Order: sequence, then C-alpha cells, then structure tokens
Amino acid sequence: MAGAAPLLICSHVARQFGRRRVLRDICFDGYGGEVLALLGPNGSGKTTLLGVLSTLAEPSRGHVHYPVAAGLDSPRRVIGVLGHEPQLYGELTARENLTLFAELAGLRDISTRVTQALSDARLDDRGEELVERFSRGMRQRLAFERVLLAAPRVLLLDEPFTGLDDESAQRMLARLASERDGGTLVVLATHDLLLVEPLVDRACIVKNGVLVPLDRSLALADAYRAAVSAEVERRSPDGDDTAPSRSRRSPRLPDSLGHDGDRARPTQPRPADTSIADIARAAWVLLEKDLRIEWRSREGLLTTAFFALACVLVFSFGLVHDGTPVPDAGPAVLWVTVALAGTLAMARTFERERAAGTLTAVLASAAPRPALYLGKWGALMVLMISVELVLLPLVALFFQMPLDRRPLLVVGLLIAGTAGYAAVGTLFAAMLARMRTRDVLLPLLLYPMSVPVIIGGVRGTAAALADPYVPGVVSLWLPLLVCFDAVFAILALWTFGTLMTEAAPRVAKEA
Amino acid sequence: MLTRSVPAMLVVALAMFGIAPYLIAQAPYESTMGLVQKIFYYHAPVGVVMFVATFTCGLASLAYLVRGRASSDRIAEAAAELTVVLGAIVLLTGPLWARKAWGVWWQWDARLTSTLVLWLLFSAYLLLRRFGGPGTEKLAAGVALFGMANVPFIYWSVNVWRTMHPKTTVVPSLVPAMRFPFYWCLLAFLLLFVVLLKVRVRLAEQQDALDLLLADAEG
Repeated sequence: MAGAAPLLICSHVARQFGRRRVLRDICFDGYGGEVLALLGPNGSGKTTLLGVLSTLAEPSRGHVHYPVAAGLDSPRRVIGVLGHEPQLYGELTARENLTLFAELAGLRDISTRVTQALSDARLDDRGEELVERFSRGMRQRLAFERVLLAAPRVLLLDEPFTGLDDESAQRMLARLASERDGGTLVVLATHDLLLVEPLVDRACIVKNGVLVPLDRSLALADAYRAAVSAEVERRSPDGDDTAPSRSRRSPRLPDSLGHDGDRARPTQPRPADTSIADIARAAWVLLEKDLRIEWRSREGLLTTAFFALACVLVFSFGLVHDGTPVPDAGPAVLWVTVALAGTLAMARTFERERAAGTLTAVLASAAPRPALYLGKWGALMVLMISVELVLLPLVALFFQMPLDRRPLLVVGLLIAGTAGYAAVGTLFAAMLARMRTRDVLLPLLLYPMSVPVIIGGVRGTAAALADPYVPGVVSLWLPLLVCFDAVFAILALWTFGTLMTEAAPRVAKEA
Repeated sequence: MLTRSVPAMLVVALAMFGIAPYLIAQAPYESTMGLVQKIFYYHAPVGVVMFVATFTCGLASLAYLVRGRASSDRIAEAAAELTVVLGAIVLLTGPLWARKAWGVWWQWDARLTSTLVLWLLFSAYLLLRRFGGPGTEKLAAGVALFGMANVPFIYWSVNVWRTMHPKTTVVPSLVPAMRFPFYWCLLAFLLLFVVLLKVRVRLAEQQDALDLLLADAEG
C-alpha cells in the first residue's frame, strides 16, 4: 500500500449527543478500490459516522479530510451518499428525480446519463412515472443510481440493501464491485453480513465509539460474532472490563489489500471557488423543482389560501363594528394574515422535505448551500405572492380598502414585505426542520424577528391608501422594507451553510 | 475560575446602589411629573444596559459561528438571559412612568413595542436553547445574530415613527444636577451587568465540566 494516496482520511473523530459519546476516537484512511464495511449492533454509531464522513454533521473533535477533493469547491463533489431512506421526491417522476440531482451536480450530457441510469435501475419503462407510485425496492434502486450519477470517488452507503429482493441485491453487489474495481472507495454500513461477504475488503466493528478491525481470515459473520462475544466476555462480572475512558483510542485500521491504492479515475475538473453563476444555476434548478411539485400537488397553494381566508373571517369578528370596519383595519388584517399564512406555508414546505429525507439529499449534493436557500426563498415567495393575489382583493372588499387609489404602491409594499418575511422565515424553517419542537419554535422565533416588516407593511399600506395622500410617509416605509430585505437576505446567505450542518454540542468540543 | 475582580466589582456596584437613592433624592424635581420622574434614574439605565447585553449576545454569537469556541457561546447564553431579565425590569418600570405621564399603564408606542419585541425575541432564543435539543447552540447563535441585526431597525424606528416616548436625545439635554445621578446609576448597572455576566459564564463552565464528567461516567 506504500505510496498509495488515501481518498479519505478520518482522523480522531469524536461525536457526542448531549452527554452521550457515540463516537470517541475514529481513525482510518480510505483508499480507492476497496470496500470498507462498518458493522455493529443498532445504535453503535455507524449512521453517525457516515453523517460525519458525508460532511452533513460536524465532529465534536477531530476532522475528516478528502485529499482527492483538494482544489475543488466542496468535498461533496467527490462523495455519494445513500441514507436509510431513498430520499427521492415522490411528486417527481423517476427521470425528473435523476435529472434534478444531475443538474445539481453540474453534470454534462444529462439526458444520456439519466437514460443509462434508468436502464441500470431496470426502470426504463417507468421513467415517466411518479416515484410515489413505486415500491420500496424500486425506490431504493433508483436512489442508488441517483448516487452513482455523478461518478463519486467515495461512496457512503447506509444499509443500501433495504427493501431489495434477492436479484436486486445481487445486482447492487455487482455494481458495487464494479465501482470498487474502477477505483472508488466504498464505505458500507450494513447488517447483511452473508450478502456482502464476497465484496468486503476490510471490515470493522463500531464498538464503544471506536473502530475495531475484524479478522478477514475468518468469514465475516464468524469474525463479527467473535468480536461481539469478546465484548460480552469483557463485560461479564468475572472479566476485567475496563470502564470506557476518555483515553480510549481507535487503532488505525490495517490496510489488508494488496492493490495499489488510488487507481486514479479522473475527477471532473471544477474551480476551487463557487461562482455566482453556479449558485444562480443551482438555485434556479431547485426553484423550478419546488414550483413543479407545487403545480402538481397544489397542496401548499390551496391549504395556505383557504387558511388565509379563514383568518380574514376570524379578524372580521373583532374589527368590524356595526357593519363598518375600524380605521386601518384592512392593512392590519392583510399583513397579519400574510404573516400567519406564510408561516404555515414555510413550515409545510420544509416538513415535506424533511419527511421524505430530500432535504438531506440536497444538502449532501454538490450544490452550493446558498443555492438551496435562494431556491427555497424564491419558491416560498412565489407561493406567498400567489396567495396574496387572492387575499388582497378580498381584504379590500371585506374591509373597504380603496385599492384603486394607489394599487402599484400597495403591490410594491407587499412584494418588499413578503421578500423580507420569507428571507427570515426560510432560514429559520430550514434550520428548525430537524427539531422535534419545530412547529412551536418557528412562529416563536419568526414573529418577533419580522415585526419591522409587519409594522412597515401595515403603516405603509395605510399611508398609501390614505386620503389625503402624503407621499413622504410611504417613502419612509418602502425603503425600510427594502433595507430589511437586503440586511437579512445577506445575513441568511452568509450563515445558511454553517447553520445547516448538524452541530456538535459545545461541551463536546472541550472533551 | 472567578477572579478576585468579581467580588470587588460587586462590592463597588452595591455601594453605588446604596448611594444612588441619596443622589436621586438630591436631584431636582421635574416640573410636570414631580416625584414619579425619579424612576427615570433606574428605568433608563436598565434600558441602556439591556441594549449592551443584546449586543454582547449578538457579538459573542457571531464569534461562536466564526470560531466555534465554547467560551463564546457561554457568554452569548449568559448575555441573553441578562437581556431577558433586564428587559423585564424595563417593561415593569416603564408602566409606572406611563401611568403618571400618559394616564395609562401601557401605550402602544414605538419604543415600548420595540422593547417588548426585543424581549420576546431573546425569550424565544432561550426557549430554542431549552427545547431545541442537543447541538442547538449554533442555531441559537444564528438567532442572536439576527436579533442583533434587528436592534438598529428598532432604534431607528424611534426617531422615524411618531412616538409619545421621550427620545434618546433627552439624556444629553438633562441639567447637570439630573445628569450626574443618571450616569451614576448607569455605571452601577453596567458594573452589576459585568458581575452577573461573569458569574453566569462561570456557572455555565461548571455545568459543562459536570456534563463532561457525567459523559465519562456514562461511557
């Protein structure tokens, strides 16, 4: 192995959740042309380790380095990640799913690649069908091809055989062997020991937060049982079990292969820095995807619009006296309804992504993180403005707002205010998506933060429709909204990438 | 470890608070509000220190996002808690003034509303830390950064919007006999803020050390 350059260097990685140390000290180098199996019982930390390797989660200590990605804008350009779930958009067809991720990876000749991938997944005749109609196994095959589309140099697979029948599993094994022979590093977490026996070059068990190499002179299942039973003996009252200690260190895994390491497969040349054009292109791809999904399901539009109408009705009970609305009730109802309906829309949008695991898939893709923010922000704005197109005339009708006075000014205020509200809301909804308490925390954080937008919107709209009209008043509010949009959009773009990486608790950084 | 400066600062702050009532009593009465105006010497300095706490939290959060040091996050957490405590004092002492000045306990004036909004924002920050689960420090740092960015909008709003609240230019216009007790109280509250911040940060350090020990014990 001497002289071979590793594709992946995992150096003293630790990861902690609260007080629980899942990973303590993981050290290994991964070389091209090998399959490394991560074994261990449920909860041992295999998925956590794959999360850290995929850059979706930050380690509490240590670091993960991809020398093969040196000079690229992101290590995600060389990584392919397949998680527990297929992470596909059910509302898109198989072809559209593959095309989306090919575009996010910035591939060329996408149509040919996608057709080939559909063929490899044995879905040639189902390419135009919505993925939500597929069986679990078909989704898994498609998800596997999605990961291979960009020809990653490092494959991180978490239980990739889930839901597959025997034939499909054997085909996947053959594909993995082919990838391995082509110089790809495959890191595989699995419980299917018999299935992967002929594929695995090196194997290790994740035990007490460290990697313990398995003896490959034995059958994989025997080596695994031996390692587990050794652990049981160590824990027995008569054994000299040592309590887990902070000084425990993972042995650096031996390189058992005789191959010559990195059998170089050319990595697609990419500039070291992400250009604005790259971000804009990826943002457009994501925006288009969201709009297509919304156009097909109309779930967000219909539920948000009817919720907005219900809000208007409820407000009318308190703000209409003797058949006449109280002064300036219209602008207040309009903007408060926009805020409430907007919260519903953004929570629903991210809930859909979270439930399908697609948010993780997009974050793990090579697409620049700011592009994800911009795409979501744009999609949310389109959705909110569509609802406002219905809401504005209705509120004007119910609350006697003289819209004919200065309609363009009101529309300008609505667009500027919606942009600011969605700018903050998109970031907060995205970063709360992983949390159990996201439903209550989103409005708690968003409403106080967007108060300048609401006040500016209400006062600006009231001033725009006032008689007599005083131009100076409106010219205070519109710049306030535009200024708010600019400040918070820039802040959100700057922080989005950092905030979307699953953080380790602060205490773990001092461990 | 707490340095000796903390008890010293606490003693000085307490001494200043002991002297403050005498200085406030010696200050001339405001012509229209009389005795009630004297709450200004507590209300306004606490408001200023609350803004100091807000910016401390925001800057520490920015440092945590950039450098990732746990010490920055501990400062941010402590400052956020102090923002909420000081904000509660401002919001409680304000109505005492408002009742005399405006005839009502609460007025939806821009400054009052803005202070309430800021208080709600940092309360939400603490709720996020409490209920967000492990690893929410970074997300909370993002919220605090956004909260700090919101403060200029709030401050600006006071001068742009029509408001019943005395503007921020009132302090330089005070007569010297009123200005001295005001700055005296401001300094006392600032000292108290520094002391509380240091003590709270120390408590967080000890909590983290305990968590580390428990993590070791639990394996």
